[in-house]
Amino acid sequence: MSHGSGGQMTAKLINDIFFKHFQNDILLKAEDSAVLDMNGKIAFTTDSFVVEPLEFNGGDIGKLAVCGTVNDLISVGARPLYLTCGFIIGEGFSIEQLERIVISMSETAKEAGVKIVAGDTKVIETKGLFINTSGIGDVISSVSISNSKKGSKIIVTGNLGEHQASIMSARMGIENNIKSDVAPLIGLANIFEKLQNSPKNIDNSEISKTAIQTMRDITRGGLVTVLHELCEKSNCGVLIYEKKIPVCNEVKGFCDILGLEPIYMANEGKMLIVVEEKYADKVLEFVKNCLYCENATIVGEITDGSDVILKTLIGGERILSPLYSEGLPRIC
Amino acid sequence: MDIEKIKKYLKNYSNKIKIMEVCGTHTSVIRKSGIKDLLSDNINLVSGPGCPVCVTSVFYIDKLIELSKEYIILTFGDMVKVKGSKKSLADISNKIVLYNPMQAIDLALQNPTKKYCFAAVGFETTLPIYALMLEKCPDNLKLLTSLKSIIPALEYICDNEKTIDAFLAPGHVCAVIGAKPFYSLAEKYKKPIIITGFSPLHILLSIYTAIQMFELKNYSVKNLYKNVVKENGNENALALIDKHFHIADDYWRGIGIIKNSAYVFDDDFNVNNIEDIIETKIDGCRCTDVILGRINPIECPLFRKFCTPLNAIGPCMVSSEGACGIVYS
Repeated sequence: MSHGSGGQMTAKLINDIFFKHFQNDILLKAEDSAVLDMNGKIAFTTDSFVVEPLEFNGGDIGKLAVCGTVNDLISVGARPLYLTCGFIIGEGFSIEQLERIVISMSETAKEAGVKIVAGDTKVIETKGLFINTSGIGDVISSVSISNSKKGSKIIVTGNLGEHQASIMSARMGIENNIKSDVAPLIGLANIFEKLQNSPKNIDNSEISKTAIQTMRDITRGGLVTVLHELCEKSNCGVLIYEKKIPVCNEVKGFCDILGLEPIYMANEGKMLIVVEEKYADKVLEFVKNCLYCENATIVGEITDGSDVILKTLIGGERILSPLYSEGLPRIC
Repeated sequence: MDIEKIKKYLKNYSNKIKIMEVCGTHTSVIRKSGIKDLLSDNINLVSGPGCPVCVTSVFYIDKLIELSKEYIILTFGDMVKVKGSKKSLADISNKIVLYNPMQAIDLALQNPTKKYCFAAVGFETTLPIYALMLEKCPDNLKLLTSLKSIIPALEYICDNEKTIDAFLAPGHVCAVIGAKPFYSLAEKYKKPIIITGFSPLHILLSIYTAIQMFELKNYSVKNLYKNVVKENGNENALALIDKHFHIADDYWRGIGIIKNSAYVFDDDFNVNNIEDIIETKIDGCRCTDVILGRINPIECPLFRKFCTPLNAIGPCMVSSEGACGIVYS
């Protein structure tokens, strides 16, 4: 508990772990607040992370805490710049594990090009580790969940369900090679910049600056949940094709056994992008060249209905309802 | 015959037929793959009693809650929200949700001073695993069983519900018990019975086969899942079941007592007199009619209006394998 007292032990923890790994000019000033240079519109978001287990195949709570906030900023068309992080640490938590998680955060932040400029630490009697991150980014493009127009195409940036399958495997003691997809999708922010500065694609035909109408981080609740939010806010319907939904074979097998559906499962490094129909193939080409997005594909389109409809492999249509509870494995 | 011709036949079928898919997983695949969209309105698919959560008695839940005063209850997630007479397992804290029955053994071995009770619920599909558990069970782990046999339930339905014309037999159960136990059923009640797998195409083909057999008055068993279901089933699994369990009468939620429909074992916690079970009827809830194939979930007056997965009134809404829960989603 003394690490949370605010005294010397707290200072030691901050110096030995947080300052050591997160170091940057703003943080090391150790002021009560970070002072930032910002121009124009900024995007600002916050998220708390409480995952169990703390370390899993493909990532850990630290990487998750950076990627979650970074991707939330990107999905409103912003370039992520600065993060803050709050650590709530359970008494007796291993310093080695804490340092591993902090290193992981620091590496992910570097990859995403963001600085961790302020932080806070508390020690509590409950076991575990909880992290909150807030983030600020420069708004480059005006995309919005309310902007999707009828006829536009829906891109999903990669295979679905991997984060949830990885976490569930760890919790259930199932051995497999499924890795969480947790990743900072910084390449997508680059696309906005590219469209903004020189809206040309590789064969020199022009892409409108407003070609991308909506972006949304596909996290808890999965693709279907995001599509429902989209329908409500953009006042539209959606048609997606089962045969187009990208899912890797291992996740497919995992879901078949447990009766889960990848379209309802959580991801931590996937984005939904709605693009004006005539630019869809070109934007897809850009997206596929981004790191972590090589399996991007067009999964469907915006309709003038109000439901989220899945055209099934066998040719039937199914209305996809919102997720109403956690996916629980079935008995038989 | 190619699939497009089958689809066309099914879309244009003009006689009335009612087919019961016994297994909850079949109901789920039918829903998820949009199969009903491909069928003529004359083909009525109804769900059967093949969701173990839906037919587990109120008494069983009450017993688990009573045992939770002394034991840590180990259960699958599906069971948590099912209501007993007053409470559900969601209302007690002394429980752990498991994903795999064998986790129960690990827990009991790792914590020898704690006492555990595993809620062993299921049909023949899960029996071999429970039999294996019994072989390794440490003293601090007990089982409270509600293990049911599907054939007596189908006999009950055939005796009491005359409107069902054909059955899709549950593929997973058949993998254990084999095709043979269905022969006498098909013959006695004059119903085509199709053993089928779980891909949408498989199910579509089995609906087509059921209709063909019904039209030809061919009342026999057709095994379309031969790569998994053998005539005599899985003989090793059956031997294991035989070694540990014997048959008894059982109480089915919404139905009542069905003779010879339970698997029990000697040290079973479930020492109750099922004759004494009186279940209170829930006003308006028509889960009984749903699992007996009398109605589709949407015909229940509570469905969607009062009974939803977040506020499940009847057991068919609780489970991911329950007909109402599946139709709702």
